[in-house]
This record gives sequence, C-alpha cells and structure tokens, in this order.
Amino acid sequence: MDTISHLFEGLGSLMGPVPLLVILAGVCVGILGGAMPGISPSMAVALLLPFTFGMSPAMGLVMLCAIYLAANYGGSVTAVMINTPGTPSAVVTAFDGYPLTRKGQAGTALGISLIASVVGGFVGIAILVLFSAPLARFALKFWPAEYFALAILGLSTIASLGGGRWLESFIAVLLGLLLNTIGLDPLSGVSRYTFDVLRLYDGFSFIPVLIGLFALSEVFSGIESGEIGRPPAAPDKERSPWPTLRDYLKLKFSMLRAGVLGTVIGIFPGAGGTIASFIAYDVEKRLSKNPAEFGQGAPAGVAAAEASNSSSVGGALVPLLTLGIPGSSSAAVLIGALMIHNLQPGPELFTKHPEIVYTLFSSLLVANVFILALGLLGARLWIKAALIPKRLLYPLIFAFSFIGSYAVRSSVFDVGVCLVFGLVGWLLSRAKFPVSPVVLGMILGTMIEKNLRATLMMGGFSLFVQRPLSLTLLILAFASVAVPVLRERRAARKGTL
Amino acid sequence: MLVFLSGGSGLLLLAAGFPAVLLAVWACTGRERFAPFRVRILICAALLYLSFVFFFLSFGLEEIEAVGSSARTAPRLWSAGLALFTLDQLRRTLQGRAPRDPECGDIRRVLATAAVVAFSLWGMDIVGYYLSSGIMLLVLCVLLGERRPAVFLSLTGGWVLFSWAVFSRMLNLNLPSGLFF
Repeated sequence: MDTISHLFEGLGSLMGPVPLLVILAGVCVGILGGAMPGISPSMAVALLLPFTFGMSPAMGLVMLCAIYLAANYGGSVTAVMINTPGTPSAVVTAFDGYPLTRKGQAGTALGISLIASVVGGFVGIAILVLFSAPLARFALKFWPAEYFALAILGLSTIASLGGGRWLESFIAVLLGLLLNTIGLDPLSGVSRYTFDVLRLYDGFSFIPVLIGLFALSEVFSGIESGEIGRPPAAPDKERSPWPTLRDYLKLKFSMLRAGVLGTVIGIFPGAGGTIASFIAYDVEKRLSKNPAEFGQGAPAGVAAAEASNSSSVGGALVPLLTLGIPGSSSAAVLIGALMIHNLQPGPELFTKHPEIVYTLFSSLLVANVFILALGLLGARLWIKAALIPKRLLYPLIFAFSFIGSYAVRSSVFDVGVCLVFGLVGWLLSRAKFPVSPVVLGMILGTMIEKNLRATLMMGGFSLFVQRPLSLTLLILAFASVAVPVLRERRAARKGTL
Repeated sequence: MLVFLSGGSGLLLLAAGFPAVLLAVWACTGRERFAPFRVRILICAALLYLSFVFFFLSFGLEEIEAVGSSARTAPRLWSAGLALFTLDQLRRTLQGRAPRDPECGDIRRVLATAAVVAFSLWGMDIVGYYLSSGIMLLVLCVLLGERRPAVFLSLTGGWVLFSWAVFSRMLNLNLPSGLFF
C-alpha cells in the first residue's frame, strides 16, 4: 500500500505544466534520437545530460529517463519503415517489421511496434515499482563484503554476456577498473598516478569518458565506414491502415511474455534491450504455431522484439536504483547524472530521497502515455529525423559532446579527455573490443575498491567466505566467468574431434 | 627512480615510451602470418604496457597500511588481471584464433576530423568558445562532404546562437572566453 500511495504522491508532483513539459520534451527528443541511425539511447542520454544541469535533481532525472524510454521506441520507427534500425535493439524489430512494410502493411507494423512498446514499457515499470523498494530494503542490510561480491557479480555478468567475446569483455572491464584508480585513493587520500597533474587528482570525470566512448567513438566509426556519403533510404509513401483492437488483442500474450522476459533480462547488468529483444524474439518463434512466418513479416515477431526492448528499461533501472549497479549502458549514463546532482544511487536513495524515486517511477508511466500519443500522431514524422544527412549530424554531435564534457567541471581538460576516449573507443570497437564494460568498470571501480578494502580491514579475506550471501554471490560470479570458458573449450574439443 | 617516474617528467618519459613500444611491435608484426592481426596485436601491446606501468608505479605509492589493505591493493589487482587476460588474448591472436582486423575504411578522414577537433580545443582558450566551436563546425561540415555554403553557414550560425541562448543565458554555463568574446 505504501508503494501505491508514494506512487500517487509522485504522480501528483508531476501534475503541473513544467514537469509535463519536461517529460514531453524528453519523449520528443528520445524518439527523435532513437529514430536517427547512429544515435543510440545511451548516446542520446549522454548528449542531453548538460541540459539538466539547471534543473532540480528530480526533473533532471525525469527528463533523462523519458529520453531513455522513448529512444527505445524511436529506433523501431525507422526499422519498420526504411529497414534502418535507429537503435541496436531495434535490429530485431526490422526482422519482421520491414517485411510487413514491403507487403504494404506498414501501418500494421507501426501500430504493433507502438502498442508493444507501450505495453512492454508498462510491464517493465510495474516490475520496477513492485520489486525495487523491497530489494532496496534488503540491500540496506548488506555488509561491504556483500557489496563487493555484488559488484564483482555485476562485472562478471557483463563480461560473460559478451558471448563469444568474453575475453575482450573481461579485458575491457579491467581496463575500466584500472583507469578508475587514477586520482586520490578513496580511503587514504594517497594520490595515485596523478604525475603531479592537478586535474588528475579527482580522476577522470565520468561524463566526458561516457560521451567519448559512447558518442564520439560511434561518430568516428561512422566516418571511417564512409556512411556519410551514402544517401539515406527514402520511406514508402503509400499509406496503409493501422491494426484494429482485435489484432492487438491477438498479440496480448506475446507482448506480456516478452515484456516480463525483457524486464528480467534488463535487470542483469550489461544485458540491455538488444539481448532482451533477441531472446524474446527467439522464444516467441519457438512458441509460435507458424515459426516459418518469422522473418517474413510475423506480427508476433514485431510485438516480442518491441515489448522486450521497452520493458528492459524498467529492468535496467532496478539494479541501478536499488544497488547502484547499472543494468545497461544508458543506465551507466544515468549513474553519472545522479552523481552530478549529488545523489548516490543505491538503497539509501529510497530512504533519503524517496520523493525523487517515486517521482521518477510516476514520470515513466506518464512518459509511456506520451509515447503512445506521439506515436499515434506522428510515426511518419519521426522518420524524417532519419533523413538528416550524417555530414550535418556528426558535426553537431561533436558540438554537443564538447558542451556536455565541459559543463561538468567547466574544464577544457575534460573536453580533451572526451576526445581521447572517443578515439580509444573507436580503436577498441574496430578490434571488436566492447566499450561499455570499460565504462561500467570505471563506474563500479570505486564501489568495488572501497568495499574490498573495508572488508579486508574488518576481517580479512575470510570474511568473504564467512558471510553466506557474499559467498553465494562470489560463487555465482565465478560460475559466470567459468561458463563461457568451459563452453569455448567444449566447442573447441568438438571441433577437433 | 619510482619517484621520478611518478612525477611530471616521468609522465613525459612514459608517454614517449608508449609510441616506441607500439612502433617496435608494428615493425615485428609485418610478417605475412601476423599482418591480418596487426591492430589487435598493437592493442594488446598497448594494454600490456599500460598494465606494466600501473603495476610498476604502484610500488612508489605512499603506504598507509590499514590492516592488510592499502592504496596499492586495487591497482595491483587490476593491472595483474589485465596483464593476464591480455596475454591470453595475445596468445590466441598469435595462434590465429582471434578475429582478423577489419578492412581499413576512410582512416584519413577520421584522423583529419580528430585533428580539427583537437585544434578547436586548443584554440578555445585563445579565441573563445563561440569562435572556436563555430570554426570547428564549419570545417567539419566541409570535411564531411557538405558543399552548400548556405547550409553549413546557417548550421554554424545556428549553433553559436543556440549555445549562447541555451547554455550561456538559460543554464548559466560559463563557457571559455578568449581574445574577442
């Protein structure tokens, strides 16, 4: 009951012109950003971060979360209409969405992707609201040993979810952790690797690193691939009817199933909407009576992909808000936003700032309603965003990235950091090293180090084994490291036989 | 030596050592067998260099011992782990079990873009944010293929106006000022 009353209080605080305008602006920008190929949700959130500096912490977070949620839907519009997924998670939507458009059923594909996004979004938010408060209460009882084990589990999951690239993911995580040690030691204040450079005493600021790795590296990759010279695909001008209520009802179980699956997958650090949509699509295909229809324009395929990637947003916010561990790249950017507003993500957020948490939950519900309204009104309008030539878009991304990096500490040095990390991210991506584990390693580095050393001071390494929960979490972390290694060995053995 | 390397001059020396190591690795990987993995091997070499530097310099960190943990603990753990995993990656690469380097795209344009951006950063303290970012946008538009003066001039002018109105006036962001404004 408490949760519901807090939720209504949160809703009440949003019922004014300013909060509603902030959410509407976030949704518009999110859909636009999502619809533009080359701008991922994490990039959209990172680039728009400086706009929140003048806002209250609650409004700033509300706007960023609205962008995050809406960008996931925005990606599907261009995926359906011009077979150009605006976001990585919308790739799966294009599998069946674009074939539907080719059959002259663009309206059906757009309608299903919109409604599935909204249903998935609501499922994700419902699970977020129901589970985050009890989880946060439980997490308040954690000792440093448990926090350390939890963060290690988070990082090992990120790495193991890299699939065939688990080794590269581990390397990226460790690189992030190592770079995080630059600056003053969080416990003793000893300066580490600062080389007498004053600006390094605070270490690297997260935001310039995030913007560099997520935004600039993608821009550099885009420039290298030569896509700036290619003309954007033109949408089909023919209009087709949208689905009826009966069509939507036929897909209700697909949407709900994918919504729950997407939320659960979103909770795992590093999984995110892309993995969620692939798995949900696969599950739906296996359960379907006509699996051969998938890939040829199956409405259930569009519904599963969209519901799962939208619901993964709610899932990714669960570990972020309750434990301070980001569930996705965009959630990692949100951690940076929380820190800029002097808010420490984790269980204490619920006890110290419950008004912010519940305002955020309520705003997600409102943002979902806005997505529905804007999707119904202007799905075809958003496609125009995809037609902006890259030769104009990329310079603007540089300009936004610089303002975002500079604004955090009013430092030109940070802008340089952003550029350097942009180039590092581009080089790593070229060699198939994932960049998001670097960011997550940097974000979780301080938490891991503080809790590791606090545990060592309290009782030494044995404390990790004596505390049942920390032992369980460490075993799970070890298993998540061991599984890909064993799987690879088995595959290699099979290959040699 | 550790004190020297941990200071400003040490940074310069270590920074100079970095390209030297990469050049040496580049020269050693010219053979037909390793050429398709050259970038990956260079990345591994860079990571090994980084982990070695961090591990080595950790010995020079001030020791304020607090029951079995110090400021040295985490850097040593992470650098040792990074070196270990990178060595494994290098082993796989040398055995030809890693993905080959992708085909080179328009690298010149990437480097030119980065140079323009770096130049604009350098100029920010001299001519101020507005002029430097405006010139950067203009040059980038041309560099990336925009040939219509009306478009790139309006984009540049629009951005300068937008950043002044939103960031400077509305959000009170103190943007770098230079000789002119």
